[in-house]
Amino acid sequence: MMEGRPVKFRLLEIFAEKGHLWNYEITDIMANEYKDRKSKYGQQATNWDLIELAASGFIKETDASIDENKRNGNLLIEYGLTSIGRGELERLKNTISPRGE
Amino acid sequence: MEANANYDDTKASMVEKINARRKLDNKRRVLFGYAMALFCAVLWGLWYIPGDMVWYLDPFVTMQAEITAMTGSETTSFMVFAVMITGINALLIVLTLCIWNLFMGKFSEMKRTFKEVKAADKWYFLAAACGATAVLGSFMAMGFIGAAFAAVTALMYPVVGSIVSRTWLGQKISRRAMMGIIVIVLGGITAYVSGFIDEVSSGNIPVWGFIGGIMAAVGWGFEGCFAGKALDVSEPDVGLHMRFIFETLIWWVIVIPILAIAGFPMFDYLGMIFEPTMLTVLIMLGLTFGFCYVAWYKSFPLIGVGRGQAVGSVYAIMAVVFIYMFTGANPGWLLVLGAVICVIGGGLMASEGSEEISSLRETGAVE
Repeated sequence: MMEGRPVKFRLLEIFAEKGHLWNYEITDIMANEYKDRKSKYGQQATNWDLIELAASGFIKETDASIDENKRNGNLLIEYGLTSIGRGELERLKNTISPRGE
Repeated sequence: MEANANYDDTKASMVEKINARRKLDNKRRVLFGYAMALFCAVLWGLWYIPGDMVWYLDPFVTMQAEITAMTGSETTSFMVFAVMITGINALLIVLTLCIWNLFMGKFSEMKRTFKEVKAADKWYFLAAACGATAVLGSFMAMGFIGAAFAAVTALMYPVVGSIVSRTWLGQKISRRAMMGIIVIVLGGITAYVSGFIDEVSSGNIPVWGFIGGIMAAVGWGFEGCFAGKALDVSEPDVGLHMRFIFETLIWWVIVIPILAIAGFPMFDYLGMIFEPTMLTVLIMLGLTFGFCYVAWYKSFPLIGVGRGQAVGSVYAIMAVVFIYMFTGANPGWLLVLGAVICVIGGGLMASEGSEEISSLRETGAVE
């Protein structure tokens, strides 16, 4: 329903559909769906959107790990949708315009 | 047995490593939020220079003289010009943000947000209306009293922002932040008293200037909260652009045409703004305010509306310093004292640990 709509709308929907996801899984999904999220810069932008959604309280960290493949050991975070995130997604679903209009 | 102990040790060291890394990432994020709020403060302080200069440059001096001659009231002339310059300010920022979003590769997201504007249109509109009130109030305070007074009196806006973001957005506010708010109010009162003494001793009480100061504080305080609501579902640069497009529409589709129909020369002088000095001042106006807003909106999702506004309030010191540097105008010690007290209050609000602001509101359970 939210494919091709503003990034934060789609991110909430992905969490609602797929449950808990790691940040690298989300950046991969978004890179496949959104042309402007394919590049390294685009993937960083998606990561940033996740941080903002977490600050808004719509998603919350459920697990964390260290990326052993990277020399500096980046932090990997798994997020899950919160109840206020679910509420926001339902609100958005009621406001978006139907496809093809 | 030994293998189990080794496994437990490895697990404990991994948890330690993750916690240390998370702490570092969280600290970096909050620091970036504060850096953005500070960057906003510097540009905001600079904005008062071109904001003050436009009042004294042609074609706007001639425009004000024409309105004064037409209505016989200097107050009306000042008010109409304040509306005009606020409208120009909004339009310039829309242009600045077009360049910025093009450079940042945000046009695709802009298109998507435009199509789904219904999802946050009332928040963009309310943020735009409150922001418009604040900028108009600021221009009124600058025109009727002076740039330093305008800068310092608007300082009370984090107080409004914090109270509204707590009661309505449900964002957390600690005891330390509350203390900061009280200190800022004391600073704001000192600044107001300073303006009052100056004006009363000169035998002139520019009521509209004081009202402008209050409009700025209340308008910006509310704007931050409505913007916070809009940014929950939009990308900050794009959300900001939408907010200024809404403000531009308010001025150029509603208010300015109404004033033109009422007989004021709103469009007569626009063709003359392409004179080099005027154009330079207007470009400075757009660049300083545009990028100050970019930084301001970036800080909100990272450190919260109350803190973003509190750190941003350092702009008053910047403004007082820049005004002194560029125009030589002495702001008076009481005004400087008010600004310093406000900034101490902002520092108090900003000084809490980054862990306390990892999530800005109560989230409910994770599914």
